[in-house]
Amino acid sequence: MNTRLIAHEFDYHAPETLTHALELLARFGEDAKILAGGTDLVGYLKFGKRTPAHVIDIKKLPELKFIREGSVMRFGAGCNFKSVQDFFAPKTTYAGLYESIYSIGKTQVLNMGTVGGNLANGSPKADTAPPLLTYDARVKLVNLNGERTLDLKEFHIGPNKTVMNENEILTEVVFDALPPGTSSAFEKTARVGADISKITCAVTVVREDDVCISCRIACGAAGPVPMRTPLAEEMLNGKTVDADLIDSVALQVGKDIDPPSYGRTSQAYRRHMVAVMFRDGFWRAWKKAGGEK
Amino acid sequence: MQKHAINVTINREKYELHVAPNELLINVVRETVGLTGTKYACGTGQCGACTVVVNGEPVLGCLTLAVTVDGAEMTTIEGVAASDGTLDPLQEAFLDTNAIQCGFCTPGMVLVGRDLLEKTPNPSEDLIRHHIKGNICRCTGYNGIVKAIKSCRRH
Repeated sequence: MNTRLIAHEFDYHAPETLTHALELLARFGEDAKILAGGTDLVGYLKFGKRTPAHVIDIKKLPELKFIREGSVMRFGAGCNFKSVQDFFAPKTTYAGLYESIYSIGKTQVLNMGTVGGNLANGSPKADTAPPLLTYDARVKLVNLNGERTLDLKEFHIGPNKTVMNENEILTEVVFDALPPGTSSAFEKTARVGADISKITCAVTVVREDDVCISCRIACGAAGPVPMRTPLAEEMLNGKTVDADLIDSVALQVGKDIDPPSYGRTSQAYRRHMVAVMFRDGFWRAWKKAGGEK
Repeated sequence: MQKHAINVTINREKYELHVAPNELLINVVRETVGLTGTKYACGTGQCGACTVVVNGEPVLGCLTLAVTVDGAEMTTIEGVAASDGTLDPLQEAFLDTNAIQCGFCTPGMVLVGRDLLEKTPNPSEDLIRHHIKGNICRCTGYNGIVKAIKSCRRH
């Protein structure tokens, strides 16, 4: 495979407004692909995995670059990983999202890639999806006729497949601010640092003394889509936490996921490791939710 | 496939270039402009040899369409030294600590090292190692590279 150049030919469009981008998308439909950071799409173009006649560059659209904080947190899909990482770095409640971006690691990729692209790409391994799933995040999809907001957990429908129509752009990620006594964590295992994940687990926990008011768990590279593990969550909600309980919940997380078995990583390994990831992530989030560092 | 005219400043010099939409930034920098300090290695965004700085941020030249940098201000390894040829302190440090073996990763390492030192003048060793994670040295000479960056910290 020649990775030195892109053999495929296409036309390039750099709309200056979101409306113009949507018009182009409406006109070219399935012949168009959206370019944001390019870290996935440009690779796909090299490998011939995507062969659009038109590439529409939305990276510079000012409408997609904002981060707003309040009772609802929202950020534009065009924000690069770096800006979202820096914004959430001091907010320990949202450590899960921060750690997921930190785990992507490479300085250059953090500058180039966007959270919107990470989600819209539809990869079951998307590192930012599990923490956002545990925040009950929503995504805003816009086309020329209007917009719709849907739960992130409805968004991914299969490997590299989302519910997005070909005339839609993912413009915004939204979630309710987490209540006091809440914290989150993200765990990942990969071949080497800053690599594509083999298995990931995000945990968001609401704590009151020794009681787990609620716990939300989501895993990546764990099935056809980034997924929550409802049976494991149910074992924790409202329960007094001790080590035995967490160990049994960890085993349940391994049962709840539906991991693929391909490449270097077997299904059994993913089921085993996700339990480890959960346990480590849970205890870190639990301690932070209780006010420990 | 229509060519696009782009205006870029590379290493303090202005260029008007005509690029096809499928042309990669690394190839435009190396072949059209003739700045061959930027290296091609993996071509898939794993190694960082193709790193160039676009508007103050290191990015991967092998995964960037040249047409997207219209209007940008860029620095490649050739622009790190001053116009009179005086080396940047980090380049001097690479020489002093023998941070160069085959030299293929060096342009990328110097650019991300400088990026870190500009944004965080006194980084910890952990932070240095994290910041250069996207740059692979296949000679595995990381200790010298980390030492060079460390020696440029401003306390």
